[in-house]
Amino acid sequence: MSQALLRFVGGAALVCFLVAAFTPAVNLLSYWMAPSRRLEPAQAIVVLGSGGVAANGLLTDTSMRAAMDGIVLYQKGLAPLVVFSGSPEGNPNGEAEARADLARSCGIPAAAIVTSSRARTTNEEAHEIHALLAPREIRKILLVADTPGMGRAMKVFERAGFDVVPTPWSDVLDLGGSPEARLSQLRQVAMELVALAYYRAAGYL
Amino acid sequence: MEELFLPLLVAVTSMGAYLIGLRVLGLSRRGLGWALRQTLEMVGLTVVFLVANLAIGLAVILTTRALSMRFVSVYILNDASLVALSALQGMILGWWRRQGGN
Repeated sequence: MSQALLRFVGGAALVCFLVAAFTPAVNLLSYWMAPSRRLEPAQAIVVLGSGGVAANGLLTDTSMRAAMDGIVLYQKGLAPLVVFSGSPEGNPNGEAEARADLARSCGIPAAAIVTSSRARTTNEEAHEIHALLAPREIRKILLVADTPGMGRAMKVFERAGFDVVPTPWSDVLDLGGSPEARLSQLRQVAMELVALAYYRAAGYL
Repeated sequence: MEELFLPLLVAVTSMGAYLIGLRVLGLSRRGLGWALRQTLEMVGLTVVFLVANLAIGLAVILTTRALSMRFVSVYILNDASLVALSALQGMILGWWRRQGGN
């Protein structure tokens, strides 16, 4: 590779780094990518897996935050049922069951809680949860997912047969984030763009 | 205002290093331009290695998923240490290229 091309790539990378770390560009990009949060009554609240459980069996921060968002939506009376999803990898039933325990400790009756622990990807979650909710004739759901992934998750769940109301739980318009937080957000956005391309190529969208 | 603290801090120490380089160490302004160009090349090589690491890592993960029952999450690629390792690779190749040219 020529020196001039390497210098161009290096210069472009430095400019991108400075813009991402020291301006709200990444926050605005995330906001542009995700559907707006809507709150309206539905038949169920679906909280997607996010972060799993730590080695000590406790929910990670991101997983707990998403679960709490689902619990608060239930307590607001927006739906009579909450579905907690979680990957079985590493700790079978770990994330979904830990979230269900949290919900019960917050006063949600066990009969209003459903867990889904077999899906490992967003696409698998959509089909697994559809198999759980279709017998109850549930079609309209409030979908709780992280902001960068909401657009892809929404399309996958719509394709599975749901009428989706997006309720992303992370605050992308928190423009005052630290440079490190913004760079972390940039990584999430980049990963989501790759995932979006993969889902399109695989025919999931 | 707090957001500007880190850039201003780096600007101040860079200016200090520039003055020390010129007046104490006797370095030339022309040499600084050369150093900046070399740095851009190193960063460029870092980007090349980062893209290669991500592309090959993704291919390995998807192939593993397809050919075996084992599920590997693509999120293991979402790690800041990969940037540092790619920078290390870029620096080593950059210095090696320069050595090979001498």
